[in-house]
Amino acid sequence: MTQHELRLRLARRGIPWTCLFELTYRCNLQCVHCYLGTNNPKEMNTDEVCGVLDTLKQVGCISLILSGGEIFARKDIVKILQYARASHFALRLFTNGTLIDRAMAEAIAQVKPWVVEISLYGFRDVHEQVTRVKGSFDDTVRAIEILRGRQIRVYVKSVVMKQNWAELPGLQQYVQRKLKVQWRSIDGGLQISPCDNGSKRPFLFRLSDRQLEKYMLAALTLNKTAKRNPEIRAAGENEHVCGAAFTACNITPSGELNPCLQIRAKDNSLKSKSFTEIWQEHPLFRQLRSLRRGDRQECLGCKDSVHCFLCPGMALIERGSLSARSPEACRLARGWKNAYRLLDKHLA
Amino acid sequence: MGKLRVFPQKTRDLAWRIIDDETILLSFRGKRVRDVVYTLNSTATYIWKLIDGKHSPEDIAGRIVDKYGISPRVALAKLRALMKDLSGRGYIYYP
Ligand code: SF4
Ligand code: SF4
Repeated sequence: MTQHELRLRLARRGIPWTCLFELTYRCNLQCVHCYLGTNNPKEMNTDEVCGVLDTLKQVGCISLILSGGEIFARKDIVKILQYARASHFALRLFTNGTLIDRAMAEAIAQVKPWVVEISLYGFRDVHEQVTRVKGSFDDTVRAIEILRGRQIRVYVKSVVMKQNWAELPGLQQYVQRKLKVQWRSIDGGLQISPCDNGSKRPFLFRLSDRQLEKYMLAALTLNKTAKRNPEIRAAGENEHVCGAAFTACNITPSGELNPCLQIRAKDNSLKSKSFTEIWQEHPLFRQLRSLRRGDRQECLGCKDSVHCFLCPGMALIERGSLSARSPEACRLARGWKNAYRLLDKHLA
Repeated sequence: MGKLRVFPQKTRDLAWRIIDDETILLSFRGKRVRDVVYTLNSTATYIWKLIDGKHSPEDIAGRIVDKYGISPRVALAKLRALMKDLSGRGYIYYP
């Protein structure tokens, strides 16, 4: 069985394969595009976090992403990691890396995570323009090197923005050749979300159409993905739109259960309701689970859909409906189509 | 039982869940994460639970005999085959 098959098999039994658990919204960096608003909710304490991990284990969830804010800003992070390992999760840690010193790397090595995923937004100047903290580039690069030295699997990822798009292909080569770790941001980093508090400020950093096309062409050329055009298969109309509330869920630092980071529910606190009650009964979760690709009336017959990464969360934010056409998804899909066309011409 | 005389243990770079008597194993050893997920049926799951560094293969075989009413010889043969498979895949080791 492949991981994809396992995900579907669990989902059909009502079990989320993965949970993205936000442990804190505190962070030592101040990234310009960050989706977190300024309010810091009351975080669960160590025992409460471990209680949530018990619940996740009990419902059958096997993949656990620990994210922030910055997870290493929590003083009890090592205890949480050890508890998660003892609960036999496949652990993925999302971090900016800056707080990982040798001692912390040793603690991470002990819990044998599946992977540590670290964000890098450019070379020194650009990275620090984005993080707004001097010295953060060197701290992050040092963490990558320490972790790699401890044989911990590291993926580096980025967000594609006006500030950094032109140097990302170079950064990718630096990450792969000099830092000798995997690069994970070919297309995933293109979706820029609004802030949790509704502010659309991060949209300012989206690429223009022209920049998109150039970036996509450079990324395709570098990653030799042209032969796989189009990589995204045409999905059946009866398929789920995405994994939210189906194969995946999100938990906030104060213990609210959501279908996904992009879709925040209400009346969803694990302190007042059980996981199963929210997962099975909450109207938003039910609505998402019943949503099929064919329900997106505005997308029917779309010729760009093979290039499109449909995110119902983004559609909800942009258009107020989970099943609406998403203008940003359309723009990205058009960008990929044009980039493939240019690449084919170039290769011919 | 030769090599099986020590107390086998689960390896640590492994995620697993027992769901309805079936065990799902996900290994993330080595450079590339393998996309393959391994599953154990209910008998193998029973054995998996006993692989904890505290039970010898002889103990486990004895438990299989009691639970499934099979002969010690068959129990031991089945256990050997499973352990060979699990250790070959790097899911268990003999400390
Ligand atoms: S596609 Fe959007 S809504 Fe669905 S899981 Fe991904 S981010 Fe969440
Ligand atoms: S969101 Fe736009 S590009 Fe994507 S399938 Fe719908 S109409 Fe097509």
